[in-house]
Amino acid sequence: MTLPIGIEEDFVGIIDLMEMKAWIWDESGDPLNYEITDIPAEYKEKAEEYRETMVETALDQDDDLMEKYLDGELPSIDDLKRCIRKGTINLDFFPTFCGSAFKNKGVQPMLNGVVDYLPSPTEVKPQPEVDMEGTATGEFAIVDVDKPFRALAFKIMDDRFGALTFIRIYSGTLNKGDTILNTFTGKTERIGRLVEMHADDRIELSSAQAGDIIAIVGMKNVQTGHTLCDPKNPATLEPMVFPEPVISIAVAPKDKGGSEKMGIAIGKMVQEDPSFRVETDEDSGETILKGMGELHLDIKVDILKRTHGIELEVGKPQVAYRETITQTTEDSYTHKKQSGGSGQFAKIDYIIEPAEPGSDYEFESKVTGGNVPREFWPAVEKGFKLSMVKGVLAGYPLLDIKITLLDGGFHAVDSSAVAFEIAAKAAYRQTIPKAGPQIIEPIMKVDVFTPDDHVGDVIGDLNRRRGMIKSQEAGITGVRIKADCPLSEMFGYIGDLRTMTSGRGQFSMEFSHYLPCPKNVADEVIKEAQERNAKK
Amino acid sequence: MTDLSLYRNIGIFAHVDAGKTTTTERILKLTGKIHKLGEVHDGAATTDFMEQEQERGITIQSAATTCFWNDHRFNIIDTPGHVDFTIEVYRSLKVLDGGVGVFCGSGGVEPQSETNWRYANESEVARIIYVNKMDRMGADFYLIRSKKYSAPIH
Repeated sequence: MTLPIGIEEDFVGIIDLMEMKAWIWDESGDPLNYEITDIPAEYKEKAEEYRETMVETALDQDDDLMEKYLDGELPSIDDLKRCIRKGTINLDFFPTFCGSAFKNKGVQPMLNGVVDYLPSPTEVKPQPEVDMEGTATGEFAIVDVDKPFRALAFKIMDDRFGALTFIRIYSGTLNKGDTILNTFTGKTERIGRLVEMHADDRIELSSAQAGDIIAIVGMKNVQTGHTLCDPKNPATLEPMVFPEPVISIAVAPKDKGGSEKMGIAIGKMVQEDPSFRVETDEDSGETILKGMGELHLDIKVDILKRTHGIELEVGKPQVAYRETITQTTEDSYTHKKQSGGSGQFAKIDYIIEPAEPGSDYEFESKVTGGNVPREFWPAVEKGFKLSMVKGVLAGYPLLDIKITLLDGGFHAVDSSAVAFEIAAKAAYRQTIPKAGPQIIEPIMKVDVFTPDDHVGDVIGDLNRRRGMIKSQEAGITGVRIKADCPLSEMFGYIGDLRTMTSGRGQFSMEFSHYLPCPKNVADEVIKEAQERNAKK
Repeated sequence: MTDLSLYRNIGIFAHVDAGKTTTTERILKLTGKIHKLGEVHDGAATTDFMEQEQERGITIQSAATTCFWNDHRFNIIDTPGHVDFTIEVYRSLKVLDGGVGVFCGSGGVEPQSETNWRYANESEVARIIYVNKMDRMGADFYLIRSKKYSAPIH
C-alpha cells in the first residue's frame, strides 16, 4: 500500500499507492510535521509498477470490476478499498505499509489502513458455542448488542487495585450491578465495577456492549477461557487450549515464613498465566514450577523474589521427560480375592501397543459375548489411565499407547467396577515392563540467527548438542539456521550463542515433539530418578 | 451505544525487537491517548509497565488499551514477541478481530516472527503489515515484502 522514499538514514517518507501521493516528514521527529506532495520524479516508474500490481491483486476479489479494468476502465479508489478490505478479511493477502515508528514516520497511513481494511467485530466469523463436553452445538455467538450477553474471559491480572478479569464481549450488553453466569463453574456472580483499560491505568465504566474489550474488577472463581453469560440464556463459547509446559525448576523458600507467602503468590501467578503450572512433588515435598522456557521461568522466579519479596533457593532447570513403549504385547491378568466374605474377581485379556506420536492414549474394547460386561469397560480404561501418570523406568508419565481389551471373565457376584480397575492397574505393572519401555525427550524447534563469520561455529555447536540441522538461509546481515534439538542440551544456550557470535547471535525455540533418548542419555535419566527415590 | 462498524479490535504482533511496542507508543501518541512518548530502551513505554519488562526492554504480558482514530474506536492489545510468552499472543488472538504484524525492515533477523504469524493464520485473524525500521542499516522493504507475500497463506 505504501513504498519507502529513501533508505536507511535517508528514509524521509512514503508513497501512498492508493492516492498516488508522497508523504514527506521533516527531521523534527514530530509525526505531524509532514507534507503531502506529488511523487518524486525518480520514484514515478516504481510507484506505477507497484500500483498496477496492487490494483490487479485487489480486483481479483471482484470479477465485474476486473472485466471492466481489462477493458481499460480504471477502478475508483472506493472500489479498490472495498476489494482490498474483502481480500484482507478473507486472509487472501495482507496489505503492507512501511515506515519507522522510532523516527515517527509512516505511522498514520498504517492507522488509516486499520480503518480501511481490518474488519469490524460484525465482519469476522462468529465464535462457535459448545456444550459442556466441548462439542460444537452449531450455534454461534453473533456479535450483536441486542442478543443475550456472552463474553469470554481471556486474561486474569492482579494489580495494585485487585483482581482484574479481562473480557471480550461478543453479544449483548453488560451493566454495573448485572448478575452473570460463569458456565464453567455454574455459579452466578454480580458485577461490581467495570473498567476500560489503558495499560496499567483504567477508566470506570457504567456499561459495556458487544464488541468491547474491557475488564471486570474483583471477580471471584473465574479463569482464563471461562464463558460469562446471561443466566437466563446460558451458552458456552469455544474454550482455549493451552500448551503443555516442557521445562521445570524446583524452588524452595529460604526460611519457613516464606512458604505460605510463596504459596499465595504462586497461586495468583498460575491464575494469570495458563502456560505456567505448579506441582508439589508428593514424595519430596518440593515445589516444582513448570513453564514454556528458561526465560519464562526466569521471569517468574524474579517476580517471586522481588515483587513478592520471597527469598528463594532455585534448582536447576529440569526437562519434562516422558516414557512410552516400543513393542506390541498381548497379555492377560486375573484379579482374584475370594477367600471368604464379599470377594473380588476380574479377568482381562488385552493388547498394549505403541500408538501414533502425539496421540497420548487410546482405549478400545473388542469384547463380544459379554465376558467383560459393558458396564465394566470404563473401569478398565480408568485403571490403565490412572496408572499412566507414572512410567515404569524413571517415573515419568507414559505417552502414546493404545490399549485394546480383547476378552476376559467375570463373576456374577464378586465382579465390580473396582475389581476391574484394580485388575487394569495390576495389568499395567505386569505388562509395560515387557513392552519395551523407553524414555522419550522433548525436541525443540530451534531457530538461530548468526552473522556470516560464525556460521561454522554455530553449526558445529548445534551438532554437539545432538541437533539435527534442518535448513540454512542466508539473509543480508547473516544466516538463519533451523534445527531440531533436544531440550536437555539447550539450557543456557543464549549465553553460549552470544559468546560464539560476539554478542550478535539470536535464537528462539519452541516445543516440537517427543523422540526416544539415546541409550546413554536414557541411562542417565533413569539413574538420576533412582537416586532421587533413594534419597526419600 | 457505539456503532459496531466503527469498532476495530486489533492486536499488535511481531517478533522480538521489531519495534512493536514502539509502534504502539506512536499509535497512542497520534490518537491523543498520551502526550509524551515513552521509549522502550528507557524503560518508559506505556504498555510495558511491569518492572521486569522495563528492565529487560521486552514485553512479557499483553497490555490492553483503547484509543480513537478518524472516529473509529481501536481496542488495541500489544503482545509479547518472545515465544516463551506465546500464550499471551494465543489468547489475544482468540478475542481479536484483526491485527497489525510489525516486521523489522532491516534484514533477516527474525527468528520467532514465524511462530506468532503462524498462530495468527491458524486463528484466521485478518492482518495488515507494518514494515518498521526503514531508517536502519540494511533496511530492504522489497525483500521483506516479497517474503511476506510469498508465504502468507497456508
